[in-house]
Amino acid sequence: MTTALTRLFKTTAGLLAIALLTGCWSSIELNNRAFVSVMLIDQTDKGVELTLGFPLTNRLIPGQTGGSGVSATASSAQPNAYISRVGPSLEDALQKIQGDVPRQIAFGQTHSIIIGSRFAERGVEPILEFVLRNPYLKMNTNLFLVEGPVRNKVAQMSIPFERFLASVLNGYVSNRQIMSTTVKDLMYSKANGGDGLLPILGFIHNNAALAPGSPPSLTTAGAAILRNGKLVETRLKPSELSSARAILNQLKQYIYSIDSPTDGGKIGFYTTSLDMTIRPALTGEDFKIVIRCKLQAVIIASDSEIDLESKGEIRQLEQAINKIANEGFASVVAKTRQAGADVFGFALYFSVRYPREWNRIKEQWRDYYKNRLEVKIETDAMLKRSGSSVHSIREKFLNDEA
Amino acid sequence: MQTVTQAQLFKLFALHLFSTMIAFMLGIMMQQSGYNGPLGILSGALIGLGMAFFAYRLGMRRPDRFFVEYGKEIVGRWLHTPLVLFIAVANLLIGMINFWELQDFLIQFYLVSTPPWAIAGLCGICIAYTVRFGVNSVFRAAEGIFLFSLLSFLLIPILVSESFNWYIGVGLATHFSPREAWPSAYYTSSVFGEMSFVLFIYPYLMQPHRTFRSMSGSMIVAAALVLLHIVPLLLIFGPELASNLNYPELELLRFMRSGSFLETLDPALIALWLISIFVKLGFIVFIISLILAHLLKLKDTKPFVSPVTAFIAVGSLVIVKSNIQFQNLMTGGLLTLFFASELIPILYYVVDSLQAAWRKKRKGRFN
Amino acid sequence: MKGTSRETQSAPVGACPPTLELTPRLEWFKERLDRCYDAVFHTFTIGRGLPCVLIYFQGMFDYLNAEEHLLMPLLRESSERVDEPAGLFDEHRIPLARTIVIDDPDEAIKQVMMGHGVLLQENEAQMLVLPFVSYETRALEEAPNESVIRGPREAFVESLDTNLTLLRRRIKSPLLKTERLTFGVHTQTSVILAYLEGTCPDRLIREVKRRLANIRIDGVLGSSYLEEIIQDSPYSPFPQLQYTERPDTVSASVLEGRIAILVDNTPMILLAPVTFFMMLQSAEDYYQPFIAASWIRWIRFIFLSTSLLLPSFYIAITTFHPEMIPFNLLISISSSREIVPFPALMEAAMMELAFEALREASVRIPKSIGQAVSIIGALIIGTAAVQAGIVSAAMVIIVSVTGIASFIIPNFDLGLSFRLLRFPMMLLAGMFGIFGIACGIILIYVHLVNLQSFGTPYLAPVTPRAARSLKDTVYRAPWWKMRTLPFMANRTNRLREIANMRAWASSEGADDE
Repeated sequence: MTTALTRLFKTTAGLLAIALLTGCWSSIELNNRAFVSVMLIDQTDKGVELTLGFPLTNRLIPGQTGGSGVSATASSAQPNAYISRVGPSLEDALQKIQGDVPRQIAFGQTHSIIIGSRFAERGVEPILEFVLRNPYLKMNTNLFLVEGPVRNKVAQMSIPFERFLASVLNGYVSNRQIMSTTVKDLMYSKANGGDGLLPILGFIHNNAALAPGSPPSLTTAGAAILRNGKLVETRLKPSELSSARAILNQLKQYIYSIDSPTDGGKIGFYTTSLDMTIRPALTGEDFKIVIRCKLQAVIIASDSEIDLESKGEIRQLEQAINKIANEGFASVVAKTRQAGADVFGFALYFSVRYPREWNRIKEQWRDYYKNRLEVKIETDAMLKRSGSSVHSIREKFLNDEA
Repeated sequence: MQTVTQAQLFKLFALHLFSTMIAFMLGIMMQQSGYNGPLGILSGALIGLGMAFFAYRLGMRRPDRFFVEYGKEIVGRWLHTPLVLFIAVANLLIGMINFWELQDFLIQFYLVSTPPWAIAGLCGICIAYTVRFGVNSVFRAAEGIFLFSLLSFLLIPILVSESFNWYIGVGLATHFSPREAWPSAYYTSSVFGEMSFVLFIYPYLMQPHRTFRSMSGSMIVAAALVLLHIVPLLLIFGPELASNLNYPELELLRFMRSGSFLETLDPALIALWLISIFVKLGFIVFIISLILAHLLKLKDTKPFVSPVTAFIAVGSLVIVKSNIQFQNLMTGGLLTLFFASELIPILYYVVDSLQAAWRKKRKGRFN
Repeated sequence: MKGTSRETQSAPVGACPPTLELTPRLEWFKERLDRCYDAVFHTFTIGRGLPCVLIYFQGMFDYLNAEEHLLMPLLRESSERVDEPAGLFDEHRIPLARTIVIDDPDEAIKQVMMGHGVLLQENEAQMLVLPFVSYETRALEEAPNESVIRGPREAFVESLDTNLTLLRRRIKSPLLKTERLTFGVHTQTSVILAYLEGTCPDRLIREVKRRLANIRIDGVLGSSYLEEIIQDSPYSPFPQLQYTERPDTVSASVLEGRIAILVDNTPMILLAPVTFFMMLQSAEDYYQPFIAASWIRWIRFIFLSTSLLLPSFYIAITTFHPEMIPFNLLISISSSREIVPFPALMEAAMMELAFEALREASVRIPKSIGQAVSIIGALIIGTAAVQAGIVSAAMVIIVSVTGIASFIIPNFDLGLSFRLLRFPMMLLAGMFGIFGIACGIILIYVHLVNLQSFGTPYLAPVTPRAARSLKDTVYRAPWWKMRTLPFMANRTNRLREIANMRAWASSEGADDE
């Protein structure tokens, strides 16, 4: 009995000693890690400029945080650090930054990458490679574009609503305010790999509470087109961007106004649901893509004398919406075709549905997309409700004074 | 002796089949078969079950005797011992390969600087502890874990379902090509064929005539679960991207947007998978110990468990040194070796049937 | 059946003189009970100078009753019938019930030690034992560690007879068998095995007796002495026998086919066999409505795993897998840990040890300071430590939640085991992260799977699966659904109630008003 117990004791003691001597190999203390919340990549004359945004937890110690004034110019009070280095390649710059930071850089919390336009013009493949091979960066990391030099604009802007830039960007994506392009979206198929739309982040002064000389805050501003991983000249305006997002099934709620078909007054709509179906079709030798949109809308304002209780008038209204939507979609598709970039991923649909025919043309897909593809767009709008009231205020309650 | 219920057998086999397939083998299947991965898996599963059927029939002839003992009556001692040793070696290799895959996976993503021997040692201790209490321990462990494991594997496709691009599913029909599916089928059948090792544990089973039902049940559950993982891979990543990923399952896990509760559940799910993989390895170690014990005419498998586990653990550290070597190993003849070891019971079955027919004819002649 | 325990040491004086005279024998008794202040030798004469002596221990023997009902009538009677020698040992002469006649002097000594009185008579080899004890025992009180809201509040006391009565009052069946054994050379402790014949499997009764048969020990002061000897695996951290102070728990267990071991001088009754899930049940579950009871059971399961795993998960996630934490939570945890100089494992270990110390100390603190200290401990140590920057606030929360969780487990021993196992798990988590936790869980799980309690697998009815018994494990089925006894009862006698006790609900009955 006792020998068994002593043996057990000895083996346990031995194991414990070994365990404590060798130490913990892979554990890195939480406060020994510097979490990258956002990556900024730009191209300068001297090479690739990598900027990593870190939340500074040592400035956020509960009970000790100070300097929470409205003015955000005092950078010593901001809980952010943007460490920036230049190197011949992304990895070299990263190594230099690690040399500057006293903690281990950890990418596990990175959800957003902001690319400068100059870097994007040379091609974004280095970023895609980096994300794909790094075991900690996920493939659903969002990509954004900033025109011109990235570093100072982003590092010094003011953020009224959140503590960190990453929260702002995450909020944009999760509330579907912005086009969401992830690393995965650029890598579906070789035929259109690297084609995509990058949302552009803009900077405006729209916070009246800030003093006149303060830095601008963030806004969403259109999109840029990537072709084969490189930025092209064409830009999409914000209104075109909404149509593009609709085609990618990312637009769910949208507010817009149209002119009434009866008397030209403005009628405002709120789209409650929007479903896109994209289907490939093959007629003979020619590929055709059919884009169908089904949307339901609610009227939120009416400045026209249109009778919203008559079926015929509603039908007219719906036709008007269809026309405008179709025009919007067509113009966006045309713009991307002009740039020769299959940003909507039509290649995937063809490769799935018609593999044999696809194999014949996939080498020249972009060219086909630019010149020969037939695109058919149909919209079917349905007005569900007219809001809480029936007739417009002007019509019902206000008198027409000459 | 009969202590293992059919329900426990079903659960053990189901875990055995789907745990390593989903965790480690989906990448290779995507690379080799693309859209025809699901087809390959289904056909491989059926082929594997077919191979196991013969083992079932052979075992039913003598359900209360151990195969290692009566095998020599069928093919003679000089052939039986090498064949059974061959099966043992094949199982050792399966064990080592799975161990290595586990280690590599863990080190690459989670325990970056931990030396491989520490992981191998810890895994070895857990597996040896599970098996040394005998067959009951292994099967009861499987029984308890089964429900949680199943739920966790089922949870994943559900949680990622909002990222599906359903249209890609059409590709499953348009790209139909049995030739493309064949490599996956081969691979899958060598995994599902491991059910034929039930031959060794017949005396432990209650109601042995229902074994085939349990095995079919396991095959259905395992195949369904694997399909439920490979199809989402296709639907989310598309075949071209999926074939480029080393561990597509992990990437799939990271795609889960489980709201703001837990960003990535992957470490927790990996922990649950680990337990299923341990059950599988426990079964393999048990089979090897059983073979060795019976070859050496010992009654108890306990003394062999620790050495076998240590051998597998150490062997996994030295068998290949890097991922590239591992790929070379797998695409070489190793699969055929496993296949061959699973076909051995069929050989016995055929010989046994011939002998029985011959004996009947001889008896008939004497009457 | 009376178990006898042999004297292992010879009497310091020789054997009792084999004479029929009283005086030498009395001398022998006096030598044996030399220097025992409380031994009383009451000599009296009956009849015509027939000396008798009543030997007893004052304070233990019910002298008043014996005096009133035996001695007085004897003396009166003998004074009336002077000529007839009083045959005390004739059966019908003694107006008292339950007297025993013995003739072994050593046995007489034992009887006296038990608090009985022994009556010796001149010229009579036989001795009369008057088994009437009267000593102070504790009044029936509420069980301090197993209180319920809605059930009975009686608890066992130290007196074996009272305890047995409490049990008999609840199970009024002649099938309740109570067998008596004696253990302890010097303590001569009575132990009673109580079981319901027909429901309790015979092999269990045999097994219990077999394990108890080997015990030769100088003293048995409590049930845990026996427990450690008859356990299946003494090195396992998990308890394999259940103990309880509540008669209703014991009665329910006996009705389900388990054995109860009652030990004199302790209110803790042992129940065998026990499974893991039984230890997560409390008597309260059966007095509350079944929905509430099921919900509480699930809470217990959840917090059981919390008490084992929460600190380990904290360590594993913060040091190995911080990408699992949502960004905002990560910033909060990280900020609160900025000023803490210790690594997570050390911090957790320190706090857990401090909590253990607090717990141990609070058991022994005198009642007057007890209240204050617990508040002081919680508030001051916790808050001050956070403000001094020694531990982080998150750690204090985790340790408190873990501590509370470990008290949710109804069985104290099981809670202790999980408390102990928490430390190796933290070590594994600190070395290997979640992978280490998985390995720890496997090791514990396999250990539990292979543990047995008197032949019953510890994790039954989950594995090996006994489907019908699951209805009292995972949730508590309503009484009218619990048709069969659980798996450990005798197989041939399974039905416990009739099929449709709620038949009144579906029949046309009282609603025809």
